[in-house]
Amino acid sequence: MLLFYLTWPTDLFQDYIVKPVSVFFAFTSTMLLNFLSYPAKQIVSSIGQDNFTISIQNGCDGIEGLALLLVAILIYPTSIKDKITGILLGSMALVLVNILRILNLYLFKIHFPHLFEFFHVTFWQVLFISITVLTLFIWVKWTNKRNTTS
Amino acid sequence: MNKQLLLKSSYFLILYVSLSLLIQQTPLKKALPVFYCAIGNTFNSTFYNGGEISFRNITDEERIGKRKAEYEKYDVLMIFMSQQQKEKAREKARIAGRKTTEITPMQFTINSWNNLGIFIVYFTSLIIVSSVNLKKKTISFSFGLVLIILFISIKNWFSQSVKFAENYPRFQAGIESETGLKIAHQIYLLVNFMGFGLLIVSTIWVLLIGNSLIKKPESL
Repeated sequence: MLLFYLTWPTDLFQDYIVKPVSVFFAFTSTMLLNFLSYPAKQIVSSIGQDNFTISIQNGCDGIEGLALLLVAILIYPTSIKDKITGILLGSMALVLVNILRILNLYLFKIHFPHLFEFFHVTFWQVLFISITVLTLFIWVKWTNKRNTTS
Repeated sequence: MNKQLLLKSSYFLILYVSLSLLIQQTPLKKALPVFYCAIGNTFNSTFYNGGEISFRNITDEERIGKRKAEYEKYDVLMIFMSQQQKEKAREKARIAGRKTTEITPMQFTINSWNNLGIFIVYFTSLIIVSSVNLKKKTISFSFGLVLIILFISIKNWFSQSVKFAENYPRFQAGIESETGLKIAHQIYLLVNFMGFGLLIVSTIWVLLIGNSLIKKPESL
């Protein structure tokens, strides 16, 4: 994690990892919002409509949670197969949760703008970290159970 | 899937949201900036080579006054000066033959909820839902709070180092070396990232309570 935190603020990491990931989340969320009949438009890593824009920046890109999940799974003593399963399923779960976070915040910005800040800063930051840790706990229990039965 | 684990996680989230709302919707919201200023004025009031910093709460008048747009809820002011700046102003006044001089400090806002409140509420919620006895909870909470305050002071130190360096011609205090400044800036970006703060608080919780939980996994 220390390595992640040391490389995270560098331009290289921001340009080649953070930016594409943010663009991916902006693209996916915009598609889903359009599907739900919201006239959202994607502009690089931002989503907006005529009167506002929300930008997917550091902290809202889910990269930190993904890094935590990856590091914890890699250092946990279990088989490579279980690690790969954990990384794939865990990452997919976190990506889905992050898309849900972006959609939720976008909808709050439209329908309950006074609650946006609370949900953005206070609620989702902690919920995302909690879900990451919960995902890890579930994976650890699953892999332990598998190892015990085999 | 462990039902107990899900139950505990839900309990934690409900508690966390309730405590956050309790602070934000009751007179406690006024106590938070005051507490933040007290921490700042105790641990971060000087910067190593002449920097002077004071933390001040923003008054209700200021919040509704003409600078209203500049202040967010829970913001406090970090006011920067330096001994060198004062000396320079005095010298200038002496040369000009004036007996008095005016020193204009530089001020920045810092959000006490994002930088402190959220961590305390998060840590408190983690402690409350932990399956340990009350004595352990109280001791862990006290130690944890000290460690969180230490973390906040370190965060403040890095913010101050960057602010002083950005305004070096004015203050002539702070880090001079370009490499030192680059390092301080990178650390400043990192420690001000909320996710990093939450991870630090989680680590504090694991260090203080984790052993007890690992010994009794069934009680999770």
